Amino acid sequence: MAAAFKAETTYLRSWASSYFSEVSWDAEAEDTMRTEGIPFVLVRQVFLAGRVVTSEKDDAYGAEWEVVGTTCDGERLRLALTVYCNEYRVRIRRIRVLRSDR
Amino acid sequence: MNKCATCAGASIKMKTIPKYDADAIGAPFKVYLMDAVKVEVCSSCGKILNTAIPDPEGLLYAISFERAMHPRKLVGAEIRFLRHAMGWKAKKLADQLGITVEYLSRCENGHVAMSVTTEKLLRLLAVLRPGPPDEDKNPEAQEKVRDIVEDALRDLVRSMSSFQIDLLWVAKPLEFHFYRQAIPTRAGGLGPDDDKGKWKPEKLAA
Repeated sequence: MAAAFKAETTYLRSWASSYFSEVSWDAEAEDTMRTEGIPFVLVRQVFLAGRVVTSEKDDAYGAEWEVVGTTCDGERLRLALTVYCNEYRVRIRRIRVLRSDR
Repeated sequence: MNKCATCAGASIKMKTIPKYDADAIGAPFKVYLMDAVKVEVCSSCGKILNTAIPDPEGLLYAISFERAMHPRKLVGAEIRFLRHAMGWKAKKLADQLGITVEYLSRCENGHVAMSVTTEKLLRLLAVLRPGPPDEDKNPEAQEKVRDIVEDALRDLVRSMSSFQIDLLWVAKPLEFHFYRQAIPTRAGGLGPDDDKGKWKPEKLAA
């Protein structure tokens, strides 16, 4: 794991493997899931094994992170998230397919 | 506060969907979530802006468990879904099942039917996937939980060895309903904003 955003990556993986969390997705992310044929069962693998590549915190509620990872079928995805650490809650704003081996 | 991308309306309300069709999860059969999914809706145009699902890992486990324990023969897309829910690559699952990746791929694509013995093993693997962890960190309680799990595993392996897969083709699509069952507390249950429940299958009338 790269040193940059290591804490964020650890947090995200821990959140994804927890059974007491909540996930939500915006309409734009849901549209991508449908049009690209990448259901949530695959997207969640990016949470479990992906890496946080950008992290920004401004005055708005929640922090904006981007995570990159590969699903077990070889799609490389980039997810734009809003993370509410104190509520143990993650919101998927956008999903972009970087590469697909399917 | 978010704004609606369609009409730019700033008035957004939250509501709980009584029966949410969870097709975005990726199961190749119908999964409905009862009174558990919250959505943000634009008050002006009615568009759903955000959909929130509690305990997604627990939900995937519950869906996999219910499908694995249902006697209807698994079709290719269901085999692939169980593998995705386990988070395994095709090679890892093929190795665990003692089959080749090519054979697994042909099963997943619906070109061949998986043998009954291999399918039973797959169902067992799907069920044995780690379940929700126990919140209680008390060592004695953990020991008790381990004993219960070991007994349950023995029962599961025994029942799976005599498990009959229904090979008859049935036109009616499979449908599962799940709801959040709150863990009872001294206060007499949990409210919607303090959800520490579990996904439970809702028994449908025959």
